[in-house]
Amino acid sequence: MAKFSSKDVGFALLGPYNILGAISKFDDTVELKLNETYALGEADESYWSSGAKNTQITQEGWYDDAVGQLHQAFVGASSLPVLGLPLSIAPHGNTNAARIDTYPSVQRVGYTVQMATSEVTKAQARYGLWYGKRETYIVHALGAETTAGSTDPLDVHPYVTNTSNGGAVVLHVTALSGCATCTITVRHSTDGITWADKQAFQALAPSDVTNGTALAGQYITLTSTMNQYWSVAWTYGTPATPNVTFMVGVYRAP
Amino acid sequence: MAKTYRATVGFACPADAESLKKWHAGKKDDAKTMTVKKGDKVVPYNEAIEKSWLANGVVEEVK
Repeated sequence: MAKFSSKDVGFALLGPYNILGAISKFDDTVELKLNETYALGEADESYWSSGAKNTQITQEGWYDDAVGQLHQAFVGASSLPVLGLPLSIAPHGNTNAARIDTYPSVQRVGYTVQMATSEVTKAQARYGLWYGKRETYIVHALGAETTAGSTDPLDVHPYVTNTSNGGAVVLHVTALSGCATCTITVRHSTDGITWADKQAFQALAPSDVTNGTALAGQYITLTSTMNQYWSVAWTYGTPATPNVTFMVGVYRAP
Repeated sequence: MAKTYRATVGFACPADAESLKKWHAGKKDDAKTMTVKKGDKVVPYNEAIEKSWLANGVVEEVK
């Protein structure tokens, strides 16, 4: 099994929070639930799975207390919501078309501070989910955009075929300022020339990012056609000096 | 005579034949693009872009 060290990891995002510590260690355990389907008198045991999974991720390491980082999310501003947000980890780096692990919605969170020295904290965080991870590809690497635009010319081409199995798109916005709202739309294409709007994420305001609402981390399930080429377009409402930092990933169901 | 289509979703593509040529040549940053809103009426500027619109299912013919 391939191993990835801290320097390889492009980001670890929980909603709008970058939870990658100065040093972090991630462990994930996925359980697939089985139910017995045999009755008294049957010769062999047989089992059935609903597909429901229970995922537990444990993260241990050193964190600083900067805004938007894990320690601030869990302790510095304890009123900030961290539940129901998607979690994405990029072991192959923060580049377009790189594969990332996305967990649709974190439902249980535990955080234990082990020791703290000035601005650095050693802590353990635990995330629980009722879903397995999704094999997702980056179509807009985590980065800032200051003018409305799109990644159409980039040709982010993570897949070699078109499918009609559906999937999902995930958005993490880590910073937004200088405008009233920002709308981010995911597009796809069969040929990399004509781009059809596939899904628009719900528009979000700067306060959604600072307050860590569900709009700053969106996971939307999609149906039907999922093409080979993917791009992202973004627009601003009432822009003055707009600046948005975000990441978008696409998951296609097998 | 070129057919007229209605956009069934919002879409984006190279704005004219010259831009499409640049697109195919890999000079995508130099190519002008156009963005069409859902419901807009559009006329393809050449056969290649019409084929691309139809392949991507972004337009329907206006009857």
